[in-house]
Amino acid sequence: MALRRDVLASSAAALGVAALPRTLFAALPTERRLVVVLLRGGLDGLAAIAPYGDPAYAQARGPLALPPPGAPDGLLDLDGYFGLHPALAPLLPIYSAGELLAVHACATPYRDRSHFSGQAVLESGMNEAGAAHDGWLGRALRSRGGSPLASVALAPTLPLILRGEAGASSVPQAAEALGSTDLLDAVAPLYTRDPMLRSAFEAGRQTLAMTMGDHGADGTDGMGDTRDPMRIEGFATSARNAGRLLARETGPRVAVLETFGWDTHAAQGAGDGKLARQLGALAHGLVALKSGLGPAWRTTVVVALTEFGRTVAMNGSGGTDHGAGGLALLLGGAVQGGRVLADWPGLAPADLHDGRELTPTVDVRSALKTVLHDHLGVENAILDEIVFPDSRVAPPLGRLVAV
Amino acid sequence: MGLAAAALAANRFGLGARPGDLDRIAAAGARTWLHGQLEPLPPSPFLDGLDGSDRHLATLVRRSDRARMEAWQENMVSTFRTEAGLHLLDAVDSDRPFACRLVRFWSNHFAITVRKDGRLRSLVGAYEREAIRPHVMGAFRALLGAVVRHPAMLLYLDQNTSLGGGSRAAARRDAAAEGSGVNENLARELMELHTLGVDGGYGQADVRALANILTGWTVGLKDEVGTRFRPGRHEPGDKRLLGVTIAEDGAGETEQALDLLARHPSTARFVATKLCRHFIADEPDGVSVRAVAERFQETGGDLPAVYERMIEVGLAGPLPPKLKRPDDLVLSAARATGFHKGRPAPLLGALRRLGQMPYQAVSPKGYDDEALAWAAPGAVLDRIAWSGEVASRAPELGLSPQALGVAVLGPDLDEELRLLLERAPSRVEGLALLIASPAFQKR
Repeated sequence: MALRRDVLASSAAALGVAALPRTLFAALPTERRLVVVLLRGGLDGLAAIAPYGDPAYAQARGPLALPPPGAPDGLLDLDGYFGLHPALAPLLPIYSAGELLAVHACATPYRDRSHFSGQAVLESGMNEAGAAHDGWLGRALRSRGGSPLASVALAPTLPLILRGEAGASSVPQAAEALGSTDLLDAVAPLYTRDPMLRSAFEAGRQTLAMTMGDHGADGTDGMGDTRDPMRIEGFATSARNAGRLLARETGPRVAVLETFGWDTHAAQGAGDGKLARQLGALAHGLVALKSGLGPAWRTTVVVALTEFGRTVAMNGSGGTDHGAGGLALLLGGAVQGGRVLADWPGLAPADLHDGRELTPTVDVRSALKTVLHDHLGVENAILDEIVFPDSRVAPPLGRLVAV
Repeated sequence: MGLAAAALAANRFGLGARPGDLDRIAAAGARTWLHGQLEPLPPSPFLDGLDGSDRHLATLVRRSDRARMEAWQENMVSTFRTEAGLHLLDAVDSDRPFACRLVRFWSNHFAITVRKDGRLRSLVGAYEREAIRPHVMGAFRALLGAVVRHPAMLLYLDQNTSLGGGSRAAARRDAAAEGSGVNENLARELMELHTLGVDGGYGQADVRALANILTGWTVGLKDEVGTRFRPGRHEPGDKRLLGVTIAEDGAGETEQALDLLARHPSTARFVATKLCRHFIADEPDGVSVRAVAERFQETGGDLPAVYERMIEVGLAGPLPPKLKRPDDLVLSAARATGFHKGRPAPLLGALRRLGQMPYQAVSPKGYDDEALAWAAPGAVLDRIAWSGEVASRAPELGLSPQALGVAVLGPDLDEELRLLLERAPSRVEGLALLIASPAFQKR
């Protein structure tokens, strides 16, 4: 181990890291951390956090309804009205500690049912898809003087949400291989003069240096092991790594994680099955993120977001189709949680959006604006005009974050 | 001038040059070389004789049969690796790389991903060979019909379990317990991703109508293997799609609907945009897109005519550089250096590492084309690291790195890179530098 550590230390020096001034790593002028987890595909919020107290629940969901709390394989009660899916049980202690807040029946302004447009609206912060080539988080970081090192994506591609003038980094999968080669130095003259690749090359090198520091610090597997972070099975590894990067004093303050596979058109299952496995992996990953953050959990807000919800009734394939009202989860030591925030619209047929979907009653931007203002200090005027243009219809919610 | 056009044809429209290719293309003329590939693809020594989808479907077992399940899954994983590997070897060896690119383009346009359903592992290779490959040099409408009715697509987008709410089969069941019966997945993606595009002028009512039109299409897994239309599952009655009444006609409704979608102006625009984004520029200009879309409209979607117009646009002026996607990077590196030494495993390993495994996009949208998607900081470093490994595994070609650079990049090899290659302390280091260079990473 000692030998490997030496190798890594010397290769970090070869990358020129030691020579860089510390201020280059000054990520954001804050000790607070923000993690956004994108649940791509349209999470069925009614399955994750079920309104078992709604008199129409069992009838409306049919075979997808879960037994009430107390019954065998039943929901885990949260507040006497909503219950947690049993596969999310690892999150219950976080909820009980007052560090998990669910925002239910929420949505972006997008009401059509395309995944890809829905995700573009969710990530761009605009009212329609294609209205911007950068993301609300990228713009928010820019307003706080963020550099490319302020934020990092644990994903092979940079998600729209982080794109923008501030720039963002991402973690190379092959940190180990890069540590033992001076190829980066050799190609540097070509890359630093290439308009398309220059900034990515430089941000990547500095993030690499940081992740190599992780190896040296504790001698563990470190960041090299992020195989296929897109798969929900690999989510826990990615999440733990993200937590460890954010925990570093000089590390980034913001991370974005992606998970896929929430598009449950068929064989969704109720207490067990495809969706239950996804939820279990999500819960496991969020707990891994908490452990990676260590003491930094206290100053962290994690936001899990999805582009829309799903139909209330089961379709012909034992699944659900795309629908409006969804669910957002906020968790972390900085969250004022232990509750489900909802202006519950009800599941009776007359209450449904287009007669088939959970009616959105909260604009998800309201929650995001509160987090960005109270947690990261982004000014309200900037939130209304730059981060989420045309979002005055979505006032901040208040009291989501310990300030 | 001849070499510059040859480099553009080989790298931008093809899969990268092998040593000697640029001279051959320049001698023939870039346009002639590209046009010469717009014929149906000849038999492939790599792909001919592989099992068809019917045979793979017949071996599918019920999920409940746990004992047989494991053996079958193992077999399927090996089928997938074999198929994916052979499709890659075919591309590396191809003398018609532009035609190969078109197969790969359409396979991605009509993407199926094995991430969703393990059963698709044994079918995706056959899907590309049966539904895509025979039609890329034909009419878009025929391609669309073959794709939509292929059992892999029906399974992938849940059409197999969609049931008309008013159908005879639904009447025999407890309708309340089964939900509405119709599954919208295929109908929605067929309009959004395959034909009209998301802003193509359809709404939820059209999605519902098309979903009803498509009811009845199923995949026989045991006795009647393959795609079957089962009238008892079909939603009766006339449907109204995009303002047009589709009269009740069972399976015939699907033909009418596909005719309607294939000749819709939104489809011409959407397909033209995607082709131009893939071959011309990440943000293709309106003039290029309109030119290609017009050709699509004029010819009723005759694809070779559409490609010809695209070639004209592409060869007419200087093109902004495009970042190679990982698959194009890996294939072009293999064509330039032979690093895979004729085996598929190094190709698959590279694609896994660089994030573009064949048939494993995360959604039916397929893999992105734009640099924004592939030039994340970590990803750029991963490509460079991989280049280093390629260099150490590549066989001796008898060419110096500098000479190889000239042979595969032609005039795109600039003076700075040429000097770096000349000064490289060893062949392996020079080769690594060449593959990792922005000039090689782009096209």
